[in-house]
Amino acid sequence: MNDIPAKPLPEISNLTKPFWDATRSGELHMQKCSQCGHIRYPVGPVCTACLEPEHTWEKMSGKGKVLAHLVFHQVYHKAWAKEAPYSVIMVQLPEGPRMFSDIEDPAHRYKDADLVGREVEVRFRPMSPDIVLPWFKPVE
Amino acid sequence: MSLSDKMSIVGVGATAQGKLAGRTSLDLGLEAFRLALDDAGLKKNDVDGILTMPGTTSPEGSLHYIRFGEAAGIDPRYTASLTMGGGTAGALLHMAAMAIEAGMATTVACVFGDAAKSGGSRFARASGSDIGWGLWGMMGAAANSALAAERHMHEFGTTSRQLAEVAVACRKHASMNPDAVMREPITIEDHQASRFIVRPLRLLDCCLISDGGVCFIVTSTDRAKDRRKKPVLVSGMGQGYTTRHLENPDWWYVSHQKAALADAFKMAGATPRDIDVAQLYDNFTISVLLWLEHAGFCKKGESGSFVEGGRIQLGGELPVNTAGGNLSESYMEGWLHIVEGVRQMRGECGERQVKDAEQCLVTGRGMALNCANATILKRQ
Repeated sequence: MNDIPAKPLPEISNLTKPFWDATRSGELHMQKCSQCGHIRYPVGPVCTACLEPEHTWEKMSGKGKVLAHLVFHQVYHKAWAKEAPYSVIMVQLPEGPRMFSDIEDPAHRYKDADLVGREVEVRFRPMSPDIVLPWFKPVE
Repeated sequence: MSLSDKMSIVGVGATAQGKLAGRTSLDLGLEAFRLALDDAGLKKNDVDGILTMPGTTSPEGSLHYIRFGEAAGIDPRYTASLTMGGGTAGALLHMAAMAIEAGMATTVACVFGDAAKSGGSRFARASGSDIGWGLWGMMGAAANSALAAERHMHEFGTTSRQLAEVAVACRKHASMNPDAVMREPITIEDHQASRFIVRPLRLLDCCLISDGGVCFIVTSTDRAKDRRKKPVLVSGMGQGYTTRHLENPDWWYVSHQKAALADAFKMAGATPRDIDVAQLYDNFTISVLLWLEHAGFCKKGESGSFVEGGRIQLGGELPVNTAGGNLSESYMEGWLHIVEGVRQMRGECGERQVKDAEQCLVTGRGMALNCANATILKRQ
């Protein structure tokens, strides 16, 4: 009866390996340009501000603020069939980048809530031996 | 030197729309091509340029132009396929105009066909780059527009009932269009009672998924004189893009649309006050609100109240999507918006004709809010 497929997982590339290495250690890291200091996300081969390839991976504070809170009632991928309606959020990190993530919400507490403006903190969810996915928990 | 009014659309063709079992993107495009040739009074060998958009069910992908040309038995002087989702139709119209101006072709057919409804297109790829958003379930066509609606509601107090006004207007217009797929009128309450797809967007905020084919033929205004029907002038053209998503703080507000619209108005020497009717790309209701603000029909943040009280319905101040749009006529990814613009400028629209309409704004936008364009069509 278990016909719910696994969620899609990313291929780890040379470019993205440090991101996934960090999440496996319970940290959120992003690339910081060695020339101009711009912190970029999504992960990319060169700085989106100055095209410089040299960069370091910096630990983010893990704090953030919700910019948008979408609730997916439609199941676009069967892997989400059981947990729909589920919340996807756009998070503003204090370090500058924005990212999409989700909120673990097995009891559907946030289905009818509006979390825009709420402070959130990063948490980590193991998906496979290699992939640990960052998600965000509203600060109570 | 400005291209304003130097090019005209001389033929349009649209197949039946909806669920067309057994049809393919290729044969729907070919039928639309035949219909557009007939509309223009042209033979296929009069066409020396072919620009196509591969349908979501076209197996040829970016090689679609070769397959289409082969199937039509045409060796064009100029051809290409372009994939910008709902931004493609307008971008190809502009490309046709530029190619003709440059002497690369004299008469260009722009063609699209898709069997998205019966061919099982899912429009639900996980989007994003390396570390894709799909990992968190941020997928499907509605996601990015839901983001736009969510932010608009938070910044400006826009309501779901105001989004409903767009759906109601499009459906009312579709009810006056015998070729539209969804013709049963709806109310704001019907919209409010429809289920959430991606909150804050409900089912009746969403466009259809359809089978169909559309073609329009562009030539120089000089050559257009001898055509079967009155040519419609391409008076203004503009495009605007953002290639970014998360790194663009204005991404959800699609500010790049403003550049597209400003260029189109400038080329046409027109202002929003000169526009009698508009075909605004409506993959979701929120998109119409954003176009209204960026075009300057209302101020930033005020589109929600602008669309209330029937203002964008036929008989209102600015009739929008007079054939029903992507929301209710058929989801031809904006191609039918150009067809309706041409028909309004020709005065062919019968019950839904905007009386004495002289200028029509047509917009398109595609991919993850990225690709925008605007065209002003003018009655000759």
